[in-house]
Order: sequence, then structure tokens, then C-alpha cells
Amino acid sequence: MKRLNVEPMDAERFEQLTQAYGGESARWPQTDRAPALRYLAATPAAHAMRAQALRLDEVLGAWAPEAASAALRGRIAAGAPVVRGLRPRDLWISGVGLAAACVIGLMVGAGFGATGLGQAPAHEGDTATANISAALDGTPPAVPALDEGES
Amino acid sequence: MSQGRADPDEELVARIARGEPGAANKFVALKLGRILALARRMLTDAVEAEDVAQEVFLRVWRHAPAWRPGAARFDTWMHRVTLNLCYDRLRRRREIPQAEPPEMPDTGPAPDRGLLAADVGRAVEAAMAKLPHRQREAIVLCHYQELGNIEAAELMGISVEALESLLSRARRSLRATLAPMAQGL
Repeated sequence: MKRLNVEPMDAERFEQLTQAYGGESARWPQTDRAPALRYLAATPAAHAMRAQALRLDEVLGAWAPEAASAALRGRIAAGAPVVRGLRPRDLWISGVGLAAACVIGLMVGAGFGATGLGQAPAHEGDTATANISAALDGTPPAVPALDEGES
Repeated sequence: MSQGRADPDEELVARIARGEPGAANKFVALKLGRILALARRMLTDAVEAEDVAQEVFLRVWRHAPAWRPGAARFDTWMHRVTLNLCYDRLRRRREIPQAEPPEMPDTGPAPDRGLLAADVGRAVEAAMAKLPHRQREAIVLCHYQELGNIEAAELMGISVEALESLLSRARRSLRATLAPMAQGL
């Protein structure tokens, strides 16, 4: 049965530590680290044990897999969800669309004007014009006359 | 282990969930190397490792909006997903007989040439490939991914004592395999 996190550290636990986690104290469990370092400082025989573990650590460290390629990074990032804002290109396209809509609107409006379609009745236009004038010169707005029959 | 500690990835994951420009690229720059190395060392196959890494990040993009901090760290969750995907592939390898065993370098001594770090690296890879999967997983998590013993044990679903046993057996086996080419083991 292994003894975990025993204080004070002894030869058995120190051997277990180095055999499992290697010789670098940073890899030792946090609860064992300080007692193990104290044991190491006080026990010359423990140094050989640690040195052997460090040598294996060093050899294992020689296996360094290839770094991720730019192509892989690009493929992965391309799959990420992005909430699209308006880019300059989108704004340009929107502007062109808006301009086209205005031109079409003017052309349709001009067409209606030429055929007399959609013209407001004369008295409505007159009333609106009079109201605007009244607002400008301070006179009360004109009220359309009611037909006699309605009173 | 992770419970009760602030998750260093929390803010970035939230930004990914909101679809903020640049957040995904930053996350890839931060995590890809680590996840790719984990898959690469578990599978000892570069192409398969890239496939696994892509799948892990697809899941990150998919799950980020639903991620609720507190249960486990996001990095731990990514490790779990990566390990699961690796084990799926390792199982498939067992089920589908391989036409030819993967070519592994000769790990014997090479007295007539100087040993370069790359040679040692290839020998370590070959020695790791020979380890039983659970021993390899223990070494990869504790030595290469530098996880703490409690976090590694939880990821593997075993006790710390069982983890130490796997680590000791793995290191003993690696030492025996690599001793002919590395002095002082």
C-alpha cells in the first residue's frame, strides 16, 4: 500500500515520489513538495535517486511533437461562429442599394406625376401649404370648411 | 481540484459564445498547441492528432454558448473531450487490424553516430507507443501536459494512488526501453 502525503518525508515516500513524478520538484504533488525538499536537503543518499529520475525526465523531454501548422490553425479558426458586423464592403453595397432605391422611387414618382395618378386633391394640397405658411408667419392654421350639410 | 478556483478561460469562452471577432483566433493560439500535443502523444500519429484537434475545437465552438463556469475548468473539459476522441480512435485501431504496423525507429544503441535530440525524441515516441494506453495517458497528462496529480486522476477516473502506480510502472518501462541509448537511466 502506498503512503500518500506523509509528513515527515522518509526514504520510502521519497522514492515513490521520484519514481512516479520524476525528479523535478515542480511536478511533485503540492502537499509533498516542501517535506520532500527538506528531506532531500538533509539526506545525501536521496540525491542519487533524484538524479536518476531527472535523467529520465530529460530524455522524455526530447520528444517534442511538431507545432501546429498555419493551415490547421486556419481551418480550425474558420469553423468558429462569428456574429458579423457591417464591414466597409457591406456599407458600400448598402449605399449602392439605397441609391438605386431612391432612383427607382424618383422614376416611379415622376411617372405618376405625368399621368396624374396619385395627385392629391387640390384642396388638400392647398390646406397643407396654407398650414405651413401659417406656421411660418404666425397666423392660425386654416381649417378646412365643413360642408353645410354636416353641421 | 478545479472546483472553487477561477477559470482562466472563462472570459475568453464567453467572448467566443458572443461571436466576438478575434476571440476564436486568440483561443486557437492559446490552446491548439496543447491539445494537439496531447492527441499526438496519445495517438502517436500526426494526421490523426490533427483530426482530433479539429474535432475538439468544433465542439468548443458548439458548446461555448452553453458553458457554465463552476463545474470544471474549461481546459479540463477540453482535455476530457480530447482523451475521449483519442480512445475512440485507439479502440478502432484494435477492432480494425492494421495492414502494416506503424513504422517505429530502432531504439537500439547507435555507436557509430552521435545521438541527436531528434533521435532520442523518436526513440521516446517509440517507447511511449509500446506502453499500455492507461500508463501512456498517465505520463502524458502528468509529465507532458503538466497537470496536477489530483486533476489528472479525476480526468482518468481513478484515485491518486492508482495514478501513482500507473506513473511508476510507465517510467520503469520507459527507463528499461530507453536505457540502451541514454546513459544514466
